[in-house]
Amino acid sequence: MAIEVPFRKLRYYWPVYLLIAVPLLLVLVFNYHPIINGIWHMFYRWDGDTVEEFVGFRNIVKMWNDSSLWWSFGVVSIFVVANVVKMILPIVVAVVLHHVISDKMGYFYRILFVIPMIIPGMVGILIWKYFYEPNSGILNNLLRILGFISPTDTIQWLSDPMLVIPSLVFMGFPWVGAFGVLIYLAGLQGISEDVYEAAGIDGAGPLTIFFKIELPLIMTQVRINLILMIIGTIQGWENIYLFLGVDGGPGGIATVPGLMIFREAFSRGLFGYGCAVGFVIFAVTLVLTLFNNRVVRVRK
Amino acid sequence: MKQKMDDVQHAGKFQKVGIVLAIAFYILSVIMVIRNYGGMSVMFDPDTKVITIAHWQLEDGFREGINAAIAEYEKAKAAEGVKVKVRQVAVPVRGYPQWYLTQLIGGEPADVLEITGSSDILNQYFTPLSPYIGEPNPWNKGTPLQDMSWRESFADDMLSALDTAYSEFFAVCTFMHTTRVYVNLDLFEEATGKKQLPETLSEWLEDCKKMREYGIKTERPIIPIGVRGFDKGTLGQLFNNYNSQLNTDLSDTGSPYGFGVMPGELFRQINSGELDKKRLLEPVEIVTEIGQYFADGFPAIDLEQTKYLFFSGNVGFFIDGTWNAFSMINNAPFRVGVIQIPMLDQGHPLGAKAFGRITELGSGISGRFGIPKKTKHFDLALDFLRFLTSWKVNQLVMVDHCKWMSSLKEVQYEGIMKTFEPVNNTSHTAISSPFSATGSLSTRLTLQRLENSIINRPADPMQYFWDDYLSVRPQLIDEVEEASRGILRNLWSMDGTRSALSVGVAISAPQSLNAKLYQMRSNINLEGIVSRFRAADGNVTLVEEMKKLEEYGKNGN
Amino acid sequence: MFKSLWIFAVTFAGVGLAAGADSGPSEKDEAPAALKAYAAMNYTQADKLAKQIPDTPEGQLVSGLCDLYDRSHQNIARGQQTLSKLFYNDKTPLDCRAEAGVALGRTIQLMKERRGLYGAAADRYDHIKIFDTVRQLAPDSRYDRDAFFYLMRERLEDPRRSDAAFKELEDYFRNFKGDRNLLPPLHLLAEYEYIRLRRDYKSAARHLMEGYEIGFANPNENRSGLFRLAFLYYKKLNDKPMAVKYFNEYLTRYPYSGLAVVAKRFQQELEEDGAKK
Repeated sequence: MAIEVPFRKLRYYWPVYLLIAVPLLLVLVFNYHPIINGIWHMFYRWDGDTVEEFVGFRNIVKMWNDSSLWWSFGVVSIFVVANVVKMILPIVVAVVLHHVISDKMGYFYRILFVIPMIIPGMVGILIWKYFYEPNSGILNNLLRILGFISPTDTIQWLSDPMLVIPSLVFMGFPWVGAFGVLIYLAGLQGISEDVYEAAGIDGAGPLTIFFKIELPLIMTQVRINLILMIIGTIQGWENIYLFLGVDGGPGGIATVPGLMIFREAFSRGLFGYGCAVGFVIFAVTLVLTLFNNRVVRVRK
Repeated sequence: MKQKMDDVQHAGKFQKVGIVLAIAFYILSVIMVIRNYGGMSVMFDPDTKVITIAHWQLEDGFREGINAAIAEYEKAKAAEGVKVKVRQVAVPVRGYPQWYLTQLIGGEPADVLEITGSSDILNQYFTPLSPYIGEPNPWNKGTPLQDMSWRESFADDMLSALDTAYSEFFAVCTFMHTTRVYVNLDLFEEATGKKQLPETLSEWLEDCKKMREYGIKTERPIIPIGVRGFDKGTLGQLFNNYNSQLNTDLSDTGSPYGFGVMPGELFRQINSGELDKKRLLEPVEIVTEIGQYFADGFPAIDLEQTKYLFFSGNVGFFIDGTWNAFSMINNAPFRVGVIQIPMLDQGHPLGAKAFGRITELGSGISGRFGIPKKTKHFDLALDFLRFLTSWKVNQLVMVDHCKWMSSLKEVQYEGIMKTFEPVNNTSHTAISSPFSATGSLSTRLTLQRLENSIINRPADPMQYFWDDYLSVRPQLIDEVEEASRGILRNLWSMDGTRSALSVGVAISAPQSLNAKLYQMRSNINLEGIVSRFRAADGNVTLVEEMKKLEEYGKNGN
Repeated sequence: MFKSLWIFAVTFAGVGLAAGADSGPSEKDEAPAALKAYAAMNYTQADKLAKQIPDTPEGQLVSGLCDLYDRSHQNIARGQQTLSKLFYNDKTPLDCRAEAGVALGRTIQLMKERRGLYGAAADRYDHIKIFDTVRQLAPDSRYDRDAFFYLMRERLEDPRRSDAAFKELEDYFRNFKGDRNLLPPLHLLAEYEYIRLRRDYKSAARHLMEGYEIGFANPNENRSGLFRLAFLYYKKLNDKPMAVKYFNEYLTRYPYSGLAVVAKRFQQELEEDGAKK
């Protein structure tokens, strides 16, 4: 537990402060300095190198008038909502695993869920890209075998403007990531057996137990995952880049703010504008996180 | 307690296994390092000099070609009594710029390095080669290039290697590429029933139509034309090719300063009514027409996927550069033919206006290799670079092994390589389109627009293209204005170059070679400044005229 | 010799840090080293060496120039101040003084072209006067050529002074007594401005020819200049004999270039035209 130390006695605790000073310095240099640098450069025309010209609010005005940026926020909102829905299945799986009677089978199922984690993310994305490949991809071949489309027809999952975003949302099906499952499982395993006994005595059914006992008691984990998911989704762009390239698909339809930053900064050399967009992402993420903290309350 | 003892013993056994494995892998890595360095004899022989050549060309054939050149070089030097070992290092292109910069900064770069990056990096880390390019390449003795200077032995007189920011040559070019169409001959003959490959656009489209029908009949997913859709490379090649075929004559009047076109001047002519905008939009119609035979979902298909589809036997024509020639020809389980991009013919509705094939001479030369300043064996590195760009060896490496084009003059091509030879039996040169030549954003948006035109099939592709172009005009004008600011910044830097070269003349002995070199570079710099003036003034005209462009149906006065 | 240490270096290899530039000797007479580093455009090293000799004109010149042109450590105000002190000091050696003048004049000129960025920061200097002074100090030299080059661009663009400027341009070429190898860039500028401002292809062709005959330093300029010359005679001036002469020369000198096919085509057109007559 933290104790308050009067200033005059600080000198007796100097080893602690010395030990903290080093990681603090590293955090300041490698985390805070880039952020401050980015905020500074949003007021500049900056090519990432030696060209640095102060332009005031020009980048912010440009953002306001940039319809593709607004569109990208719309797209990322769709992904955030979809990812919220996708959070349900890991919770369900964790609850089911928690209720497996046999310890050995429970251990076995946990291993089965964890093994896919060792596959590098990039490999997973490339596999999904092949899955969606219109001519020889798994999905279209399956639909051909099942007779939903003729042998020479193709569905352009990543080229048809109407299908691109649903295809990206569907990616990762069945959306049962080991990370989420293990986190929730750990939370569920922290619930005392007495609580279950009491619920059983009161005649509570499985659904009642889930909604009234288990879900509220793992709300801390849910909230953390929700925050991380929102931040990750708003900032994420690598999947889109790998799937659809720097343009974000046909007509840029699946461009997200992160991809916009990459494109403006690294393809066009407009690092100042990229910093401005980055700042907006930071502000939006902060607002959503605060909102999340207010709405998703944890009952202690 | 006993359980604990067992656990401890168990753990001890695993630890021993772990230590043994660690030592074994360490020894293995040492062996591999020594082997890759050149063997024990090289490592422990003080007289053997080791130089390294590094690049990112992982295409089939290139490394084999370089290895063949290395073997010849080591043999030739051994005959001169010089012990030398040349190592080849190939790094994937995605990581190459970072690796290369790290090597340069770290102080242990390869001795001959394929260059990339900004002019500032080249100036800081690479040895200027201008003192050496005026002399003949000694390795060209007894060849058709023996009387030419090293610079003149290149097909473009080393122009592609000139760094205009510093008016200096930091590298030499080692190869050249052209764009061709690879044909699955077996599928072609089955689907069309003929052996004669298409030479004209009408024939090509007819053959594509037959392929598609064949696919439907045999229930095979036949793709008439395979393309690199992911990075839109093919779209750009097709658009530029047909734009040149249709509009090459605009070079006579497209610039007030001489031969060639300037985007601002073309737009001025459109605004004044001297030029019908439809002329510049006709290539859109052609590309849209060809695009109907691309693979479904082509925008999401990258090069590797397209190659896979081609090798699976379901793609009739595959448009790509000669850098993939080796793998396309050698790895396909069927016969592969090569043709040029078919020519617009009189039979096509737009063919009457076409001028035929465009020359490829002097373009597509790349593969720049330079020598870092920190190399320990500069003389040997320079000698090896000369060897690599000598007539005989360049032919061996590029033509024989890689099936690539050489960057040199007087190189002979035989067999299938003749189809890769730059087109020169023509009277016209390529021109750029004003829609895509005003900056990287304009290029990207043009290709996106073409892609959308193919996917959406508008009733009038030309109008669709024009309307879309006007809708993004403010962004394009922004880009041109940004480019103008860039030119002004560049003029500042170029004056820095002027100043440095002037100081160089001042500190050199009068009439010395150094003084002459500095003077020459100073003149190159000022001549470059004139071309910046031209570009800056051109941008002013371009912005003025872009603002005046009117809607599709309206013509200029 | 057993390279044992090398094996361990490979095993524990990481990315090396920059070895650091050679540090120059600390003697007072560093001028050649600072100037040499500057001539190689190694601004960091040059500035470092120049700061070791702050009281010499060479050290001040290099410091001032690095302040202007080294983008990573740019300090324009300080650089211009240093150079103007050098320039307005009669005791400064001629080379230093002239170079300081040209650099000062040009950077002021560029700052005035970008008022949106630099505001009125350069208004305290009169770059025209500076260029004129440089020309008087070192007539017929490369400094004179450089100053005139920049002056002419501005004067020709000014509609009120354009006629006088074109006359001044011709007088310069006529009266120049220095190394004629300095003139090709000016001929190129003249060609460009004659076309841009007056569509005077005759004068443009004359200058292009004169520049070509001395020889452009950029091989690309030589090549494209020769083609352009032939083209101007053919399409703009309708001087077919001269066009034929220069197309022939182009095809002899540059048979492998991309424009060779066009030169051949034009040559054929001219021959057919000649045959018809």
